[in-house]
Amino acid sequence: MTATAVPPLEDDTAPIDAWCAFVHSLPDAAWIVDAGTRRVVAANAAADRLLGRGPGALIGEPADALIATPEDMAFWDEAAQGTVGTLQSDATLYAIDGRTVHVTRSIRPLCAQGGVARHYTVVACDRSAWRAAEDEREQVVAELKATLESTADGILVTDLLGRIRAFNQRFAATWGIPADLLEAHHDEAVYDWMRRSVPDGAAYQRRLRSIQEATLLSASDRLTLHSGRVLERVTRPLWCRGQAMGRVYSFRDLSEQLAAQNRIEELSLTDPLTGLPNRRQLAETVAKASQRVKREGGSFALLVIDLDRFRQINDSLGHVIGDRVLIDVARRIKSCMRADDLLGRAGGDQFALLVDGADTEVAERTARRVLDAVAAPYNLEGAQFTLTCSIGGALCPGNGHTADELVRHAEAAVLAVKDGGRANYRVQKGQRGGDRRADIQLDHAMRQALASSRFRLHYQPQVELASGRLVGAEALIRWHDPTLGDVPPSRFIPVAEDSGFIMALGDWVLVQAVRQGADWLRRGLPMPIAINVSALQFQQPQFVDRVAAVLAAAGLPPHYLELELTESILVRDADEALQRLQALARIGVRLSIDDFGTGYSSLAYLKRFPIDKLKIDRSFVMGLPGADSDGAIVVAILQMANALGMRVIAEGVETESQRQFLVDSGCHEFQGFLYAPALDSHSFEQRLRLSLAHGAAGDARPAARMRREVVRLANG
Amino acid sequence: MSGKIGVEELRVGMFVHLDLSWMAHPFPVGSFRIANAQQIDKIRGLGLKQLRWSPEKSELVPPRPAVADAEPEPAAQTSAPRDETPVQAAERERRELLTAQRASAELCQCQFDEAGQAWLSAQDKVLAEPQQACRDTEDLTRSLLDKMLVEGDMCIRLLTCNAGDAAGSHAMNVAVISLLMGRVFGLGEDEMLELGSGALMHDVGKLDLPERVRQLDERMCKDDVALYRDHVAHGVAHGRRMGMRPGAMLVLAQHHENADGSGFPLRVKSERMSVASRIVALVNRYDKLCNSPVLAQAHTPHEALSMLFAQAQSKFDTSMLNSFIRMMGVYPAGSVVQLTDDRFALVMSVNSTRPLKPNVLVHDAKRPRDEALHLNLMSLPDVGIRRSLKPSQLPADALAYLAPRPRVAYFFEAAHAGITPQEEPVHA
Repeated sequence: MTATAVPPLEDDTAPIDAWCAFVHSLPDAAWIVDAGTRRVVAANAAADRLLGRGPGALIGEPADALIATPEDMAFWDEAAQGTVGTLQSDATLYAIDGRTVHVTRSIRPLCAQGGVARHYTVVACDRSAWRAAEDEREQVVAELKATLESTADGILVTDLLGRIRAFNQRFAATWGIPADLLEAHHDEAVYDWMRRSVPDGAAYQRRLRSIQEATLLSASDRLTLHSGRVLERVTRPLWCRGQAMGRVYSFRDLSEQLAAQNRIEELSLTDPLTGLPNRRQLAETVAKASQRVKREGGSFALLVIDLDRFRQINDSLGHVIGDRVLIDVARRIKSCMRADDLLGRAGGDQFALLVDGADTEVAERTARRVLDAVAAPYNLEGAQFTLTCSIGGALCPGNGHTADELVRHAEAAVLAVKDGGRANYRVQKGQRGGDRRADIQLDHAMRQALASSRFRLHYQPQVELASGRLVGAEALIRWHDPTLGDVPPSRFIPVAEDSGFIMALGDWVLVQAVRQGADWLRRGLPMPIAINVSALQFQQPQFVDRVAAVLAAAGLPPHYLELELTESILVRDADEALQRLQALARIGVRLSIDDFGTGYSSLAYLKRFPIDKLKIDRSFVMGLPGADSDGAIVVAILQMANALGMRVIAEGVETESQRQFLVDSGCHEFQGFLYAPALDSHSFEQRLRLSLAHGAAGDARPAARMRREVVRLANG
Repeated sequence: MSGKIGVEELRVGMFVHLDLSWMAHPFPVGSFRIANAQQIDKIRGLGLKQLRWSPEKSELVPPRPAVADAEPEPAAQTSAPRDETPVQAAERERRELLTAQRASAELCQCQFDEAGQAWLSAQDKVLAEPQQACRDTEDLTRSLLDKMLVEGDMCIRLLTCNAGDAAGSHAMNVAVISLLMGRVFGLGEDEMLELGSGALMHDVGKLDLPERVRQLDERMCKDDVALYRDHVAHGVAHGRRMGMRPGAMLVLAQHHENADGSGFPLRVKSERMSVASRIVALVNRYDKLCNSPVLAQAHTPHEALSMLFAQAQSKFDTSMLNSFIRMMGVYPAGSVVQLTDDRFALVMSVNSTRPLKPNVLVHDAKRPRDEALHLNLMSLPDVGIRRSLKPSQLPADALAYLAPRPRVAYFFEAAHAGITPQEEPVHA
């Protein structure tokens, strides 16, 4: 409370001179006002100084002019009407020399109890310094508060006795503490809540107590809550004036990070040592390949490569060298492979090689090359040695169709080789597979078709889930042949890939799609177009230049073109792929990964590559929302993509429940029959115009509509 | 307890309920006791055949109408039970006051919302049906004026809920306070109508402006400021199309002029401004300070008043500024204050006879906010207001309790319709 030095006064008869003398003795600025005239009759030197006046200049001044605030005006108004009151409040006065002074001003009547007030004393205590300090303090507090709330960690500040001094909203959210509990300032209840949130409350409590007892301890540990959240608790002492005053705890929620890591590991299909596909991925790939053979014909071989007496290397040279040998072996086997072959690590010292399109002869030739490559001398850390392997092979369809059958046959062959003295190969004999003749005919027909312009591009709409807006189109190739009829891409693309014709075909797609995009853009229909790029096409040395040239020729800004790549492109020669992708990204072309989830992308790769978008493979979408594992995989892909800042599109969406699941999971876009199949360019264009017209009316909320109308009327 | 009664059977002393919207009848409140024969005539003029009434709240002079015979003995319903202890009696009284307090807050809010809707609908017609917009605006003004035709003081009340639309809320605030000012200055009926419709439409020219220049912002470039200032000229053009009255047109034209000629667009001085224009110019400035479109730049009502007083005395007619302060109170409704006994409070309403002694909601941790009676400082000679604060200066618990709104909206009520000066026990 402010100081007023005026003593209670019983006697109003004392001469005003006595009061003037008293006022002059006061250290604070003070003056006396005549109640009748409301003008100053006496003022001390402090008042002159405060108001910036010369000695005696205040005498006769109107009281409400010295401190001109609404309060003073109202007070003197009331006083004039005979109301006797007091006024004590903070006020700002403007001195005659322009200074702004913050004061606490109190006005009291000088009168006998119940009597008429003839005079008032006004005492003004300069509070400017205090006010400045207060402003500074408020600013610091505001800064700290903002800092506290802007961190992603939950923060709790306590004193040495554990009483809660401060916390941020994130702290409450992390622990799920109800707002009323915190607002009630009931520390014990908050601590109790925290203790009950962890499975082992007693251990938690012991640890907390030991932290609190060790005043100077800084510590960091992990807590797992009932809810499944994992928190990292970091605590350090709070210092003030050279001594510990309390403790700050920060709680970082690791749940999402850990969950993503786990999912990633689940999803990860690669062997951490060699980076090769692991056994699971191998099995899936074999299964897929055998299905394709069943469906479309063709053949492949599975070679199981078992290192002979590898245990001796481990035992004599140690695991570190052993691991390096395995990496080296993998590298050597890879050198024997063709582009579409796949090598995986099936177990400790066992590899498996899927030789695409192979018959017995090709399989045996590959096996021989692998034998030679592995058998070349090794020189590691000064140790020189040789290593051999035993290879067993099985053919699809000759030895069966299921992965199980093939592996069984191949492993039987390995055993046979081992029995026969190792360092050899054996391919199980089966019937000849594949229909090479049909493929050759098809290849010929394709070349004819391209020459006579029988290929067409259709466009499947890609739709943003949140808004329902049409945001892109995937260009899909269609072929109607006068003699063969409609040939599905699943039939001719593998053949084209086999024969290399895919390069010509892919180039045609690139040119057509870019021209179409440019045409739409010119006619006011900006629409990004995605095209599929085959591995072979992508690996062409001039590929990047070609893309740039096609874009330039058509005059299409690069970001309207999206290249859909398969995961295999990224894995085969990661460094080269990275350079090429970066070159494409520099041009401004968008990049996405097709059929994501079926390949074996390493997360490390994904992170490094300038990929904009992942396309979830239709096989996962098909099972939604019923199949738990598919749902989990989709969610995991979304989480991972979010973490890496990529967008996600789902393909093959056919039902509303699939779409809803994707919406709920936060997927960004989708395509599929549910919205539209691939359409010819004309139909697509109509659909696009419809969508534009519809979209404009779609989000019209009443308020927005009203505003728009007002603006439209105003402008019209 | 209520029954129906035919309009021909109405008598002085009956407590009746007009189940009409607030705009559709000329009485300050929809439920009241009939005081005189003129009121009966007015009710009959509304075109109702019958209406609800509450016999138990009525004070009828005999003979009683036949319809009421079946009703129970009037006084028995509300009078205090005889065996009530003083504590129970105090609690019952408190409850009753609380109920009345809530009811009057709801009524005020409801009337403000209704008037706000009417404004919005008039505003919507400005471009397409300008003359209808003018008629609607004048109708709205008339219904506001009808409510002010009561004897005695008017209370300016803080609305606790915010109207959604900032422009509408601004127009309503300016119109309501301007009309109350006009009442203080004793303007005649036509002048009041012109003042009210001018105030409601003072910013109508902003319809022609792009959104970004509708609010003056110190970061604006020179060209944008010029665009902003054009809203006055646009407004005059609209007013002409609407066929607004000359006095209302002057309000549109002069609401940014200052007493010392430092305003725009014509830089006219006080003596060439109409009273209505001077009122609207002042009230407009006040509301802009309180309800700045940029929240960070908004001032508390007390700050806004102090700024007008200290820095802009030259810009406004001094006597008008003084009347304004007397009417709004030194601490206008919505101000956050600290009392001389150190408690924190929110000013809820102000009675113009005692500008330093408003009704406040006091932070009292022992009583839930919804249960708290407003404290009338007039009844406490020793307790005053020590300082006004920004909401951010409040301790967290007081802030949560008082919950001051970022924007203030005002409405009015007859002083006697509010809470009678009744205080809670002071825990000082």
